[in-house]
Amino acid sequence: MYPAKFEYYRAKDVQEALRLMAQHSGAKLLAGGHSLLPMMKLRLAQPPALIDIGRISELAGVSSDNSRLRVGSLTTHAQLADSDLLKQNCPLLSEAAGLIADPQVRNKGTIGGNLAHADPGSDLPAVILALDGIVHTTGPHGDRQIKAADFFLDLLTTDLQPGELITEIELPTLAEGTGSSYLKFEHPASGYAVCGAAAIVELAADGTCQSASLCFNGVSATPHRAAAVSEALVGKKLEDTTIDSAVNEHLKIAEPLGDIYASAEYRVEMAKVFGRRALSSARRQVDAGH
Amino acid sequence: MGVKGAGETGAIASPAATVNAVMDALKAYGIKHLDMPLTPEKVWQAIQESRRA
Repeated sequence: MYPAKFEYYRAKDVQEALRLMAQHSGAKLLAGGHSLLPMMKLRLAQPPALIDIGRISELAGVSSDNSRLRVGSLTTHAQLADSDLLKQNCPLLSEAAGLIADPQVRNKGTIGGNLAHADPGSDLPAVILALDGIVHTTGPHGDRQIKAADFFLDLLTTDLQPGELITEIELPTLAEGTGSSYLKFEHPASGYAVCGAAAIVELAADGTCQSASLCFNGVSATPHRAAAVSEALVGKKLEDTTIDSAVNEHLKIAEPLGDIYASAEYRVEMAKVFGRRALSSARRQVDAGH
Repeated sequence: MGVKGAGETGAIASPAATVNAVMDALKAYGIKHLDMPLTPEKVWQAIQESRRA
């Protein structure tokens, strides 16, 4: 199907983008386009105008600032997967980005677009939540910093206000003694996460778990943080049996999603399987001394 | 056109071979029949049901 009629504007910088957003109510931002354009072709989205921000080069790139990482919102998934800075300091993000869809999508899709779209089957929301990332935005009322836990509100719905755009995502550097892993059960055609598990574990000097973070894509409308599982692991040695018990006993997903490919019941079961595997994989990464 | 079919025979036999292999693996659970498509969930459900029986 063709998209409904729309106007097209190109912004050369952030200020122009904000001005165009204010002038054209209901306009959507176009970055990589690989989530928005398919929706427009199905007429699930019919914005009266598109504001193309894809050429605002200052919004792309990964840098570090003391012990925090700053990821520009227009950084593509391919750039994230390839970034040495991320591979050394936050490999969970580069690993997950490399598993998104296919090369064509990874070359165009951006982290800002991915988070703003908030598709439950996408990969980065659970990763950013597990990392306790902070989404930086700018808009007509100034700049905001939104914690990941406050950013995802519902299916395809975020805390972004009209006229607001994401400028960068702020992430921690993962410390020594930390391991991470992103594993997903993909839909065979689209590559979307039927269930994606993002795990981070930090070990204390005596080898017990100092902290753990386990978040899921695909199983609920917003990325799910398995807080009870994490709490159950603190202070314990992360043997596979310990991980298995913690996940089996404490993983509870309140309103799991289901569809024609995978029912809610099956997704919850797969969340347990992938949660166990991701935690074990993260633990092994610490052992390997990444 | 002078063309010859080269792939059809393989396409007839391979799904049957694959399904037979899956049913052979599921024999241990007492599962006797499953219709295609053999999605991951369908196989999983069959195993769960056989455990409940």
